[in-house]
Amino acid sequence: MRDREDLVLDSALAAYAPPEPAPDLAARVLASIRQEGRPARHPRPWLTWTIAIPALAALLLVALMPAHHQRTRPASSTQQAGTSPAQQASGPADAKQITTQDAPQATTKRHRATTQLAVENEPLPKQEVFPTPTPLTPQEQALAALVNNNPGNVAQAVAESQKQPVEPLSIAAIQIPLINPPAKGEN
Amino acid sequence: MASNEDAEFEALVMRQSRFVFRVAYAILRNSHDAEDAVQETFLKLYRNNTWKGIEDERAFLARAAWRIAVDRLPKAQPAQPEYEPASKAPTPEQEAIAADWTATIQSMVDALPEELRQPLALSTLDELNSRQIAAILGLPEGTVRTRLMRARQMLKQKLASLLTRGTENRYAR
Repeated sequence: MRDREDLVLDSALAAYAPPEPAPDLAARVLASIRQEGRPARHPRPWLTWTIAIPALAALLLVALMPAHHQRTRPASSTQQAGTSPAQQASGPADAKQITTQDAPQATTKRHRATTQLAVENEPLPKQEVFPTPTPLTPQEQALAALVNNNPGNVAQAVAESQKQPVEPLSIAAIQIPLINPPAKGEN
Repeated sequence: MASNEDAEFEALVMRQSRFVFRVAYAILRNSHDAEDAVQETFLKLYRNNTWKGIEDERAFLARAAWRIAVDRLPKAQPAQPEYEPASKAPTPEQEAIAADWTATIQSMVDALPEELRQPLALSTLDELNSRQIAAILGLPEGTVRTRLMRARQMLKQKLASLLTRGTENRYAR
């Protein structure tokens, strides 16, 4: 039985073997390669450049930005330190001028950005009184004049007003009458 | 294709297209699909220039063709019903099938799990021994031998039951 099974199996598996291909298979393969196939000797050079150029530009921008910031800040502060107090008093306008002289060939957009940066970096003037006093209103001026003219009277009036005792408030007890429910039949 | 390289590639196609077809057919079991797999195999080799300097071109091509053929297999193959007679009394169709052992066994092979069917199908190619099949499938040679043995064992068991039933039916009449 074993022998018979093996024989049957072997013959069936031999028939299971793949058939021969069509005789023109190689020719068809070659034809399709001629039609579609292009060897990748230079695998898409344009693709490499389209990725590489923007990447390099971005890297360059990232590398130059901090350097530009560092250069702008000390320049404004040192030039300001070197200027006379009169120039310092003139303030942002001069700083604007100095900064713009540094980059005469810059574009308008960049010029605006630079001047804005210089203005931002300008130290604010130091105030002796903070917050800055504002001018008195007419009412306040009248009150001040009254106090200045009659200082004794004003002081006396203030003292008298403070002498008056503060009496405790008394509130009468609140009385709420009971509500009687209506009798049956009354509505 | 005018250069020397192209002429070499053309020679490679002429030399190995039959073999590549047979490998692809062993997996796909369909001439049309196998031819497509052959075209794709050679086209990829040509485009990527990976065919130059191959040491064992048969092994290389067989591996490439096998990969492409496996990719072309339907992802979820419907489970093919194993050939198993439902009752002891065979139907006329079953009798007809039993009469054609080759067709019966081929349907049994097709019903095997892919991990067993693929090595068995490749082993039917005279050009491939178990070491080469192992190289194509990316498996150890021992594993391939074990799978071949298991596949044959399964087929023989089914065949034995089929033969026994055929004999019983003959005596019953």
